[in-house]
Amino acid sequence: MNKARNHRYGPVTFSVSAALFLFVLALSSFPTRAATPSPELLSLLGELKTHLELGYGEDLRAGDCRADIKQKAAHAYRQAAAAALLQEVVVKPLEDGAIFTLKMLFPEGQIAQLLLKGGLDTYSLYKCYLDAEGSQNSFARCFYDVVISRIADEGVDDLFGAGGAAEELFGEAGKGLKPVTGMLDDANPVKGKVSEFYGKAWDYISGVGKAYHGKSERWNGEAKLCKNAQVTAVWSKRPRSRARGGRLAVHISFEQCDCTTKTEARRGVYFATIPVKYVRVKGGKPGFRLDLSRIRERVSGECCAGKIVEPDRCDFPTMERPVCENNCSEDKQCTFTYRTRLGKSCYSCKPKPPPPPPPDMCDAPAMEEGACNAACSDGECRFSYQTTGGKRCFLCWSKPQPPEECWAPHTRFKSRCEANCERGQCLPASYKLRDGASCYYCKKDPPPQWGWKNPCPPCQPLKDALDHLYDRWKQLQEERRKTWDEIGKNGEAQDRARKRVKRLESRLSASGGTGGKSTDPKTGITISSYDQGDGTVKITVRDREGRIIEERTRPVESKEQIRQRLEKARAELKALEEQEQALRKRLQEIAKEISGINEKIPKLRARLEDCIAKRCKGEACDAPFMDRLSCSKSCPGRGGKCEFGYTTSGGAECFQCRVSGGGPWDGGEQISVGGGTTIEVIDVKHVSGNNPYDRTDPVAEDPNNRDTGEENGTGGTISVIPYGGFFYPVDQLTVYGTDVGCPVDHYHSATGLAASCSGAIHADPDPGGCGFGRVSDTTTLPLSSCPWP
Amino acid sequence: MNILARPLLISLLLALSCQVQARQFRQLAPIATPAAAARALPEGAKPVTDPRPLPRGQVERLLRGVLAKWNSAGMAQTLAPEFYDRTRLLDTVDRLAPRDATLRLLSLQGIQTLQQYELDGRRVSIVSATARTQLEFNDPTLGFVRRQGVNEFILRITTPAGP
Repeated sequence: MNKARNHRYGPVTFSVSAALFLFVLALSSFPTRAATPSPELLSLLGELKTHLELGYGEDLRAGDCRADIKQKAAHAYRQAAAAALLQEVVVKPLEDGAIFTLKMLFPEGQIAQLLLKGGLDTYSLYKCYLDAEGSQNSFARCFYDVVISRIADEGVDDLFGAGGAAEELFGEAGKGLKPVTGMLDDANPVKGKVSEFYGKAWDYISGVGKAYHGKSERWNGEAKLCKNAQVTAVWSKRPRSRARGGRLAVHISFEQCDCTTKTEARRGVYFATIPVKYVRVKGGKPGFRLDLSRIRERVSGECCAGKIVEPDRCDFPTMERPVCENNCSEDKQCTFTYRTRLGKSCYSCKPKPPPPPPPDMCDAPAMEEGACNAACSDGECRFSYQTTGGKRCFLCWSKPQPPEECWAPHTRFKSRCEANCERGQCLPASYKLRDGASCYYCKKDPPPQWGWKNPCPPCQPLKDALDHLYDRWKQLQEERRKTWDEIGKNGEAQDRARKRVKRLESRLSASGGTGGKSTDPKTGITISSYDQGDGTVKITVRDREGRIIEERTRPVESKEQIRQRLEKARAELKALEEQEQALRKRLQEIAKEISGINEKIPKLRARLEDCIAKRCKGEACDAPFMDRLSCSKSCPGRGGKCEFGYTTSGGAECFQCRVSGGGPWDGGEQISVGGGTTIEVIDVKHVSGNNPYDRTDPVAEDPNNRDTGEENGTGGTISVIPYGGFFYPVDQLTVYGTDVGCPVDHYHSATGLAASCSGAIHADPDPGGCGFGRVSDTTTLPLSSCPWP
Repeated sequence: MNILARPLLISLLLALSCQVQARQFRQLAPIATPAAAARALPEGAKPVTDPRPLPRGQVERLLRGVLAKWNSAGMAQTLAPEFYDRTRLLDTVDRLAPRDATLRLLSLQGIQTLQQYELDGRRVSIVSATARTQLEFNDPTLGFVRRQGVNEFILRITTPAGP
């Protein structure tokens, strides 16, 4: 920055810049030909001459040649501007333009002449053009005001004198002014024919103004001072806001001066810019004058002592602060730009910066997180919102103050809570008191959901009875299973006994000869025995092809011994048969009892479910239970005590008055039916698929298809074997080939038991024989006739 | 004679044929009158002046209760006395339905309140509800068995008369 400033204010730079300024000014604004200066320029040069002469002796500063530069510049200027005029000059082009404009507005009659003769100054007329600043309306308004005010000030008669000029002005003859007075108003000053007149006048005077102010004038003078003393003045006539006559720039330079003292200047440059005012001269005519109060001078050069003098001026467009404050419009402000080497502060008009954006901060009472945490000691900081700048704002939420006393119906004494909390649990509340104590409340147990497995007390006897029946049913089932097992074992024992009897009988019959043999047709094994005569019998076992499989000997038994053993075996077989009969009898008894239980269980279960529906799930207590109030009213008279019985699913608490600790329910059939909505099925019409309310088969997939299948015989059949009036599905049986007991293929059950189509379970009727029957007796039945399996 | 008899005979035949064509099978359709409607109601019942169809949700809830009692001791209570072959159905269900068989309501298709009257201070609604049901039970050999069906239930729903 300093480097830049030094560079900016170096002497060489200054000279170059000043020369460049003048060069550019000369090239851009002036014709190359040297024109004769206008009288008004000569007048302005004379005014400056006076100013410079009066300024001798200023800016004297010890050790500085600034005053000498200024004196020499004034001296050079005085020599060069010898021809300058020292009096005010009327600007003729402007005066002529104003007069012609007035005449254009009043083209007929003598009005324009009379107005000018009466004292209407051309200065004011042209000033209307300058003040209009390009606005035709403003020009018309100003022109009209000037004319009217002039007439009002002087009076019509005085202004126009005798001769009917006033009548001419305001009568039919004054066509120039009439439209002006009649049509001008604040809203629309120019209208109709008036605009036509004023338009032409405006066109003309604006042409005059542009022609005059569009040119600049330059004047060069020479002086005999030092060497190469030159004086140049450039008048830029372009109107400015406070200088309607433009600005005059004067440049005086000299060099190679003789030095006698240190305070003299060896070379120097004087540069001044002076605003030119538009003024009234010579009784109301347009003229120009320098505004010397706003002159801006700049002095630079080199002193004889070698010191460089720099212009202690703010370089354009910078200004000193007072100048800046006067020149800046409201939308601009004076901004410090730089400081000269001599310490002068320079300012420039710059647009005011846009108002600063609202600070990115949290609006109270919201705070930033850190501030909130610091300030919110008794509460909790919770996020509230986020600013546009992304700052997160928090609010301090004060924690609820714990109460001093428990909220009703809570109590701080757990024992008191428990005393009043029947069928519930005293739990601490979610809050604590200010002293830290807890509050307790009674949380009632939810009403029980009574059901088949968990009936309410009035229905409990039914449940107990049902449980008893189920237990008995299970016992009987288990006993029946064991009995069947015993029967099976008994059957096996009988088979063994029969075989033993058969074997002994054959042995007894064979003991009469010397030998014999038997063949098993199924296996083809032949067993032959031969008495060898030495007290032993040789037994040979051969296969189907006659090959010997086994040979052994046994001692020869006597017939008596065989007979004894046969009798014993027969007795054993008989005992087994009697045992089987006893077991089968027990089975019948079990079946009968189970059948009885099966009949009882549905009825009892129906009663239980009915009881649950009507006595447990309602909202009213059922006799002998009653609500607490009713119980307390009736019970004390009988010397009893109300004891809690149960809670209905609807939440009603039921009590029972116990006089001597009697049972809660006598098992009576009195069931109260509460009023409510009931539903009954009148009919069910089958549409498709299963019909669970079908009277013939509610489980069938489709009753219609089932009937069709049976009628057509295309399905729905099952293979059964009839035996003993029952039909046994053969898929639960096993086919056996011919054996000793049955010469044809026949059925046995692997378990010894089989279920008939009616659901009855039977043991194998002929375990040693043909079992459930011959395979050739197999037949088929419709499935509907054999639903059980 | 023949000339006279022929036209007469033809005319007679035409007249008879017209009579035959006029004959048709007609059913006796009584004209709907308040008295006729009242005769269709049970004894002591009064027709309601402001019939209100039962809400679908209420019918669905009640029907679920009815189906839940199928194959249980409470099934008898869900059947109206006039249910045709009521006892036979109960016996058949007892005999054929597996012990664990349950009936479930899958969806309720259409509901229509067919009739409504007041009897003994209670409002009785005859409602038709078409429902898709599913019968579920475990078979020892087939495993879990489910059988769906669509049936139209004619229900009698009794509610408090109300305001």
